[in-house]
Amino acid sequence: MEPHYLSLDRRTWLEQLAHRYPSRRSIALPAVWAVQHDWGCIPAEATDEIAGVVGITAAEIHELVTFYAMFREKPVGRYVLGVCGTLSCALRGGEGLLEYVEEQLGITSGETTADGLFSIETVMCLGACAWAPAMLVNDQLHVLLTRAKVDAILEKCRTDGAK
Amino acid sequence: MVLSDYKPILLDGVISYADDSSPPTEWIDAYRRRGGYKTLERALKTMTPDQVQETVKASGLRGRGGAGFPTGVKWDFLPEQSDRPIYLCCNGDESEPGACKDRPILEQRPHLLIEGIALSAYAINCHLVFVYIRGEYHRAIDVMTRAVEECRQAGFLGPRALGRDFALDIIVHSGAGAYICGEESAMLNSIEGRVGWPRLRPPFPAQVGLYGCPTIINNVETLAKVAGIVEHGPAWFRSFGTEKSAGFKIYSVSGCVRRPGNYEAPMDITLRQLIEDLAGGIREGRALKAVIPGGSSVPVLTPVYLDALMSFEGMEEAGSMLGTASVIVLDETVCMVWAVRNMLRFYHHESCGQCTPCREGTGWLFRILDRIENGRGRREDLELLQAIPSQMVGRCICALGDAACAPVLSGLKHFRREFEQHIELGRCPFEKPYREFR
Repeated sequence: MEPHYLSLDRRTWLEQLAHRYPSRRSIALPAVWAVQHDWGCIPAEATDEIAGVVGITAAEIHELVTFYAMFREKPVGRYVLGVCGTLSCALRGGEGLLEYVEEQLGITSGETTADGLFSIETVMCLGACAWAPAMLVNDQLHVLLTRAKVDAILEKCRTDGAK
Repeated sequence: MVLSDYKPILLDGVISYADDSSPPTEWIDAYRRRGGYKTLERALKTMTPDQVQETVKASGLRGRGGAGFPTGVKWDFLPEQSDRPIYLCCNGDESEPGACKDRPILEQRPHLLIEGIALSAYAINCHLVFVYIRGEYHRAIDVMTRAVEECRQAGFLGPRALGRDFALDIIVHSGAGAYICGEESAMLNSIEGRVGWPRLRPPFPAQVGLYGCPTIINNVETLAKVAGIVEHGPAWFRSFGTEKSAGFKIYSVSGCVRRPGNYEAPMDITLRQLIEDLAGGIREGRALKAVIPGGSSVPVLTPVYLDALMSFEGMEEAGSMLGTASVIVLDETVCMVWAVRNMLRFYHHESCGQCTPCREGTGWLFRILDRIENGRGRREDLELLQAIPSQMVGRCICALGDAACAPVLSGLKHFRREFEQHIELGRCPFEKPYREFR
């Protein structure tokens, strides 16, 4: 299949990986990650191409995409706020943090703002329990959050997003 | 145990997130400046693999991922002769609510971990190691990937590691958001490019593991201790802790304490020392209500057990488990129904769906707890909360369903009156100041 969702560079990288793993199938997760990284989600149309590169069926790729919580089938905002909803964070204002972020952006968890800038997700324990409350903004972890810190984070996203 | 005598070893030089939002990493040059990789060099030159394994076995090191199985004994389960390759998987899928102890090792001391991995691989005759890191640990994945590359460039990894007749490669494999992949056989499936469904045992991974080959799975913190043990010897490691729980451990303390954080201490520390001396006691002068001593999968304890040792046997005697030693502290303002509901939401979300008792049971328990907390509880709900676990525990392929029952059963055991009050009043009787976000 013509390279579309997986660029030639990505394919070269995956071939190198395939040589390091004892079984080619092990590049399945890296391949799905690569598409999500480059496209923001795993469109249904991408599964055939990924399957072809990995050498398994499209159904098997779809199974991975739906099993692993971090893989997304639908596009999301430019900044995804992953707010931790688990106990250690909840004991230090995690529920209030989610409400505050929802209030500031005018959307609820699972939604994206109309301008496509922000999405909110409720995520399970982020492994930042001792620095609660915590949230991810895309790949970046933010800890010991306060209203002032959240305001500054959102403001920075808006400024960077306008560039 | 006198705390002031102890100087951290794993967390030496580690900066807490409390001080800095992106603490620095100890890269290869800095690690070598303080003597790093000398132990590996010496071991490859002067020790046989068996001697390394014997050293680890004699140290009494027990797995730090939750189960506490003796590491050297686990390595012994590998077949003596194998015509198939042997694999080592380093479990960095830290996802247990309360646990954040592997994060500083992965992010800040990658080479301490890699040296331990290399020594362990040498001990078990393994030439390809997988470091599985949960997908949410973006920084840890980046750091470990770069640290492995540094080692290849320095000749510490490759077809002839350190110029000796020992080939070693490490692959950093990213997860994608699934707590269950911390379960060792689910992790193997995830590395193989499959969904993270746990496997039936036997056969055990030491016989039939990754790609059908003999495989050892050890936790990040476990492997990070191996270099120190080989450097200083088993007696040094045994000079810390207790007979059955040798050495030291990172304890993650979270929740209602003044100074939450990762605290490294010998394993004869008491729960009281951990909470009062290291974590500064309960915040805002409130009273302690309950402690979950080992991550959300272990039974809740009441303050009666504050003087119990935070060792494997100490927590067992107290009626709980050390687990990942992730201490979640609840003060008197915390509603137990709310806390247990929160934990069950997690298990319901994370159940992989393979076994019916766990898939259906976690959801059922969550829905019951949710309605009790929200004032819609029924009189018969408490009986259901007791009865459902009896149909889950021990009836699934892995222990996730069992883990989900621990907070429910122990919460009911110690705080039954609170559950009843919710149902009688038709509402939650707690004000929940901790929900507030300022």
